[in-house]
Amino acid sequence: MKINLSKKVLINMYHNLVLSRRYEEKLIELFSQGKISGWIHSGIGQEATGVAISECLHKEDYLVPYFRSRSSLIAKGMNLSELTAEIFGKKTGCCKGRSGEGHVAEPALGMIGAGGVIGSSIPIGVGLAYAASLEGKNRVVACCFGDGATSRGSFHEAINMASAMNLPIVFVCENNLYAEFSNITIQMKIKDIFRRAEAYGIPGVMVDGCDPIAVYETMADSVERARKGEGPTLIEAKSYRWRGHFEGDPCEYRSKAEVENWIKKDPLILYQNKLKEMRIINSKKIDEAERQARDAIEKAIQFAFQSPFPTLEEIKEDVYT
Amino acid sequence: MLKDVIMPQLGAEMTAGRIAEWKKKEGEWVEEKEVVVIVETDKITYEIESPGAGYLHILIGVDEEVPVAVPIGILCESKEELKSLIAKERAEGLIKPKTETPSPEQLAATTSTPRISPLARKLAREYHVDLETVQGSGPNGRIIKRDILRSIEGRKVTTSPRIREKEIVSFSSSEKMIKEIIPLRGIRKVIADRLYGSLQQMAQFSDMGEIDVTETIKFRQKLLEQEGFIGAAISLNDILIKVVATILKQMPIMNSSILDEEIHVWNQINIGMAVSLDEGLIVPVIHEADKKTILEIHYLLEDLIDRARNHRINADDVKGGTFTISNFGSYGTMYGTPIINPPQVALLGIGLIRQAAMVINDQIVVGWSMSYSLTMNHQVIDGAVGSQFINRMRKFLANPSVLCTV
Amino acid sequence: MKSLNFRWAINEALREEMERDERVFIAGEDVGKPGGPFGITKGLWEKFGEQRVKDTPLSEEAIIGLAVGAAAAGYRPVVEIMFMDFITIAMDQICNQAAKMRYLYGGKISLPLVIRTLFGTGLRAGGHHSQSLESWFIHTPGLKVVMPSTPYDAKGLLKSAIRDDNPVIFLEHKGLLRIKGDVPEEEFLIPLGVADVKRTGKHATVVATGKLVHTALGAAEQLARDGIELEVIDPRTLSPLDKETILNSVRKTNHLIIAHEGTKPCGIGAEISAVVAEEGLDFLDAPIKRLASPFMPIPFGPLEDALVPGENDIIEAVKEILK
Repeated sequence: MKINLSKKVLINMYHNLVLSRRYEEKLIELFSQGKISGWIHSGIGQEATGVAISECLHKEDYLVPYFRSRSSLIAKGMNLSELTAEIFGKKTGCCKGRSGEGHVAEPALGMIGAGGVIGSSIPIGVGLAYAASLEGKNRVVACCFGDGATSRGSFHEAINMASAMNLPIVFVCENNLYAEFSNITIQMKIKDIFRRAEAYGIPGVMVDGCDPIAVYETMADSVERARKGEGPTLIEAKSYRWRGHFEGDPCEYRSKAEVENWIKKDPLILYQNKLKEMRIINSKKIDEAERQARDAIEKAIQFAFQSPFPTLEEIKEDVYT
Repeated sequence: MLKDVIMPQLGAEMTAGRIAEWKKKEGEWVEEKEVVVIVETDKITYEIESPGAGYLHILIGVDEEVPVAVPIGILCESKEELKSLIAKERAEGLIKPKTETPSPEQLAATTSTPRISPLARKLAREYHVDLETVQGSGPNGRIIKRDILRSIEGRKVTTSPRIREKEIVSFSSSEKMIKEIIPLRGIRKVIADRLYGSLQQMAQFSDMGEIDVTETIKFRQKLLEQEGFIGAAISLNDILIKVVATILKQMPIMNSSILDEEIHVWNQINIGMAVSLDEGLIVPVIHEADKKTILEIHYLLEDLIDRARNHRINADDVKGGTFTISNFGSYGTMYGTPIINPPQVALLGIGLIRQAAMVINDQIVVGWSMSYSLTMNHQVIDGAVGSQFINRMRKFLANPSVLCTV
Repeated sequence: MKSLNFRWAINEALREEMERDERVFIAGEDVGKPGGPFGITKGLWEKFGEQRVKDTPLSEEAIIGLAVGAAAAGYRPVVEIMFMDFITIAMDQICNQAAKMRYLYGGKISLPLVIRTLFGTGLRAGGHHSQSLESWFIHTPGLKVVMPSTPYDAKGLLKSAIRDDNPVIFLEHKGLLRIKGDVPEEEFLIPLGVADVKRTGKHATVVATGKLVHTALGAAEQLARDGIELEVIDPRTLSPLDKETILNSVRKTNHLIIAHEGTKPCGIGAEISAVVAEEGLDFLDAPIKRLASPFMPIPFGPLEDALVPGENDIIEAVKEILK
């Protein structure tokens, strides 16, 4: 099915891509300055998939986020200040500082399910989809994860159950070729994760994760299927993570050459060029996008720095309703 | 050569004594005539001198009641003799080192199962129960709640003025609240047992009233004015003893006891005068008071009271009484229901002596009135007899000059 | 009042709550068309349809994930784990996800889900079909753990559990399914976190759970003939535990025995013992005694019966601590 991307969509994705990239850069900078406690799992270089996925979703649709895809959160409307405060562990964060960077959520925007155990979010996505099917209002679930999660039993149980029940869910796997410190060849014998879909009787699709337009087209298609009640799809978006599993990871398990090759195919640069070609943006618009991104990030960082940490009493709340 | 230390006979009527304190330790050398043990009888404590010299082996421990003439310790000539004596006793299964209380360190070092339950420990703490005195009836000899409760119930709560205020703790609404517990021991215990026993043995009733003692007061006043000549300040008590002794001679039934279902009328008239000490009531006796002059009575009484107050009284001083007078009037009390001192059959309580309005020959006059409470054993004495006794008292006290004829 | 058996009391609770609130739905293996492996959900599929009484694949982890996601989306799932022994497969979803999600998301969502599961001995079916694993969940903050012992308790507690906005593990002893009891005709709820004194007494307290509540009552009958009055307490909710009822009882009787299935280490008996030792030490006139299953897997067959504390075990224990 050929999806026509409106200019609005294209520009939206561009703005989100710029914002996500600059945001990642900023976080890496702050982390290296020792200003963030905990850790940062940078998704720099992988932003394209996330902006496209969320662009396809309506506000009421659910997003089960892939932990490395801050771009998917930003593109779905996450408040940057609250996101930053959360990463800093402040009580003004979207999770009151309790989750930190690892499992950010915003139930009001339908962003639910992320947690510290890789792969555990996938059955939760299936639950969201089941609720959507009971509700009957055509909501869909975008359930996103990395390649490592597909080794979990939870992945297989979930995708099997969703398929058997024909639920309105799109499984999006960003395959960046590494799970933590292991190359994908340690994780699985197969080369392409999307092929797993066949085992469950649902369509599997491969897409270039660095191309937002391609991802958007594929995702829109799958979302349409799900809304119409045609069941789940498994999308594999091929991409690469430029930095280690977390900031500070020396990445001894891969070659510098490999990394540099991928950096040459920077999704932001490529997309920018494409849009310029299509005359959708020009230098002025690029500058504007960069400025807006800079301002938003600066505002968010300031907010986060100035916000207080939760008190010892406050962190004891909400264990039970 | 072994020599026994025995429980001595310390009074004609003594049958047993209690070991209050060993002044020498097990295995210690004792010199002849050195005080080796303190023994307590009914109301009196005695220091017992060692009958010989030697190393002391203690047979019977503190607080034990021992009949007269029973050995309570052994003096050994040498340490070897002591050792072989102990070994022999052990072999015969006799030895239980009763005087060997384990040191706190020894107690703490025992690895046997816990001696006391948490609940029992709490109760013991609250009710001041000395755990050393409690026998545990739980498993492995564990002290449990019922043991503490038994220990508490075994004591009687006294209302001695020494009770201090204490925080009252109740642990359930059905439990009684105890302010303080004072152990019933020594003289207090003797009194307690004796008086309780008295009420159990006899059918006691009391005759109470007033006697006009105006003349006796005047009489005594005259005697006081002659104190220098007499050599002493005669007291009302001296006079009362003489009066009572004289009446008892006329009414011997009041000077008797029930023994083995027989009324024994006593030959001697031995009048006891109750004296109040801190630790309780003591009743020194004026023997054959009827045969003594008031002056003699005075000296005897003065001496007895003095020695009683200084704890120098001996067994014979308190023995043999056949009638008792208790003067509680000095405390302001008018009437009472005094309890008879067994095995006597009557006790005269003297209450407050004070100026009062009286009707004499249709006139209201001011005189001196003495309250009395005469308790009698109805098994022997009827009311009429008691009234007679009192009437004779009235006669004497209204006409004290008659005393010079008796 | 009507007489209802345990199994049917649960069925009624499910039926009533599903009628009352359309967000309540059931999911699990064989719960729908087959009516449940123990017949507990019989008739519900016919009444409410296959969307609300959903048969799932054999995937305990995904079943609980389904419950978590649906609860996060505002529904009230009641999912079933056929045998508590299989709940181990779903430990991550229960203890890491369900138990913590509300807290980690800053209190922005609640997960009003119930996990029903059949536990305990009674089928003589061996080590993977008889376990009592409640300890693991009592130990996890964010969860509630409920264990009824009578049809009355089962119905009232399940209704409350479904209406509770927290994740609740609802434990059904498979040996109790057939027992009958009086249940009110009219609607009733039993609050979570409240123990029940099933029998009053003054000489010793027995806290018992699940099927052992009945064992303790039987022991109490026998002991009463000897003049020993046992107080039997059924906590009903294991987490949060009604400490006050237990402490008040021990304050009165000064003697405590705890009887439960499952092993002793870190069991509910250990927890109650610690609570009483910490907060009621001075009430105790004798050591606390726990009766539980021996520390071993449960073998197949009739020997299972001997591995669970019986009436005589309770009687002996009572007599021993009252010595």
